[in-house]
Amino acid sequence: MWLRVLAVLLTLAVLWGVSEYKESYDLKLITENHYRRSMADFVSSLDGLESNLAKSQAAGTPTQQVYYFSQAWHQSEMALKNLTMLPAEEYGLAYVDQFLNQIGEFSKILTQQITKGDKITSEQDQTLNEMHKRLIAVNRDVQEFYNDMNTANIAWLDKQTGQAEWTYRGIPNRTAAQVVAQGDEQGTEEQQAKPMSIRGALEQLDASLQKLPPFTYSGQTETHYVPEPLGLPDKEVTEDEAEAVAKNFLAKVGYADAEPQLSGTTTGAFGGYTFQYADKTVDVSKKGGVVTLFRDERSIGVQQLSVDETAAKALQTLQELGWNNLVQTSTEDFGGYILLEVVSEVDKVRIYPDRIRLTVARDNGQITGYDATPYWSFHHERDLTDRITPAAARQKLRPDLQIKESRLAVISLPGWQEAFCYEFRVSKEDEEFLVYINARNGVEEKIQRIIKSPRGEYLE
Amino acid sequence: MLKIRPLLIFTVLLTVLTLCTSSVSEAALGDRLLARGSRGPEVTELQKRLNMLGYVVGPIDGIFGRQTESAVRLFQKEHGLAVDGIVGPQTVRELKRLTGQSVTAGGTTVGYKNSDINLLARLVSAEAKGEPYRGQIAVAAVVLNRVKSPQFPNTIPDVIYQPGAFSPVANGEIWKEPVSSAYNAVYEALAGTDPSYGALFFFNPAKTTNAYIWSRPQIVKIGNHIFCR
Repeated sequence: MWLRVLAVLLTLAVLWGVSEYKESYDLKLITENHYRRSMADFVSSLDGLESNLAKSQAAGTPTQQVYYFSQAWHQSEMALKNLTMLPAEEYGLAYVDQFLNQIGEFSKILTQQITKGDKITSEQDQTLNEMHKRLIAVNRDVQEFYNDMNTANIAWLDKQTGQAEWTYRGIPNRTAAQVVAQGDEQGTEEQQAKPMSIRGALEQLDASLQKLPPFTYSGQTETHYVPEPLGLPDKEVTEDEAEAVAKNFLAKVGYADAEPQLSGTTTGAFGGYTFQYADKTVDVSKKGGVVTLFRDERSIGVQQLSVDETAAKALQTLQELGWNNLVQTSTEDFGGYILLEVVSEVDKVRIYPDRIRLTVARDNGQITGYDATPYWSFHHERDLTDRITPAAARQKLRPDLQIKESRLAVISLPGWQEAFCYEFRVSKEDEEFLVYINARNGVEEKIQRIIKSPRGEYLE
Repeated sequence: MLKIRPLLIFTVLLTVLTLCTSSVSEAALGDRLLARGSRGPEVTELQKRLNMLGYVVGPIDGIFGRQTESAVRLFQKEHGLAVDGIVGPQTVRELKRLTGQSVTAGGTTVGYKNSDINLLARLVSAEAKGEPYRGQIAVAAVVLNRVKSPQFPNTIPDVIYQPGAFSPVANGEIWKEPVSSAYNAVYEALAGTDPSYGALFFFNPAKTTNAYIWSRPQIVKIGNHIFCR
């Protein structure tokens, strides 16, 4: 009897084990296939990129140049995307990413430059040539360890995490660092340990690229922060002065008796003091002593005001804070509060970069969020006199567009650049767009599509 | 006329859908008051829509229970509506408005336009729920800063799913329902607000010993997170 029960239990356990094993094997295989596919895509897009960069240097007409540069732009994005899908123990191949991003960005800049009718300068030609040389070395290196992966079955990671019971059977005596050094003749010869895995090889490649200087070219962007805000007033403020600024700000937005306390300091371009008063926070910059960010995290009461009334109250508060010449450009209704954007307007020219963003509560019209960092980042004196006539600008639009509104505006372009433009709000069939024509040279700079989201008008 | 069209199409579609999925009832959300104890396809729709905005309702089962009621109350509170836990015309109107699709100027429906917003809200929620609201905006801003930085991938999903980049992806926390404040934080970050002033990393100093992350230049501390370059 006992024996029978045990035998049945044992059989069940074995069956369960087998099915678990089968299931985990299948899952491993699926993951493995995904990785292999990404690796294959990475290798082939990198190879295509190399070939297109080569051809672009032989192309003589704008048509062919644009074709090869836009291919290169696309392939660098593809290579980067597939690279980020490969397994890793820790994230980040910052220098490989940067290398690919720079090629992509430079190709994009050249594509746009050529389509505007400009020629490639000799300086750009040289940058392109250096990029291509470095890419040949990187591409060869990647192909070598891809080849090893296919023939010698090396593992994905040094520390094996589940998949692949493969053993490392040797990789040729060339390391990423050496290849790049040979190809570029800039790196230092350095003996590195052989990579034990695909990831190890990629990390060596990353380390070898770190030793080489990144490329520099005009139009390049590193746009996740403003290195030097243009608008901050010159004088430095002390902690006491900053506290007075915070106190005054709080009084104007509705907290007359607020006693803000210093709760921390910040560093960087907008470095300064953070003051706290109950659940409200005010950031005051050290340079210039201005409020960059304010946030009131109070809970919101029952709606009393319409969206328009709420916006009007906020604009009034802004005036009390000393902001004149600000016009409202968009509102989004989130129910309990609205998101409101205002920009400065000088001589009827809208200065979109000089922007302040607010959240305003619909219970009493108080500002609950205030972000003036864009304004302080970009505000400066601009020369807005020289311009083509409205009629000349209109000529540049497609003839089948219906113009609904037009005005002059300064807009931001990638890489902290700006353009002085005519803004046309146009309609075509059932769509509306904003089309920007450069007011100095008539170039069509930018198109934005107007979408009505559930919260309000939205530019896409 | 123009304004009504998408709503009409939507209502018709919904009715058709409801008819297809349920042979019991033809009712749509807004036909009657819903409160604790209500059952039916309207409750299912209510739960789905609350879920879309980050209000946790538990299982979507068409039963107006305790969790659904507290989600309704929180929704009402955060949207400046009278907080009674009962789904009447005002609550329905606000809920339908905020969960609707986008339209072109002429009224053609073009979808929700929020594919990245949901993913980013999940990350913000998993990384920073319980943190101050501006700390939540800052976490969303870090992802957007990485998208713009040449040293990182170029799309929101690529940055979030980058192996090893965010622990909630590795441990599955990201698949829990995001909280409503995370959605609002994401909208503000996408509009451009960045309380981290350009940070690419953030970490909880009480939980991190990683030398690399401690070596980064620090910008600001918000709640339990230090944000750095």
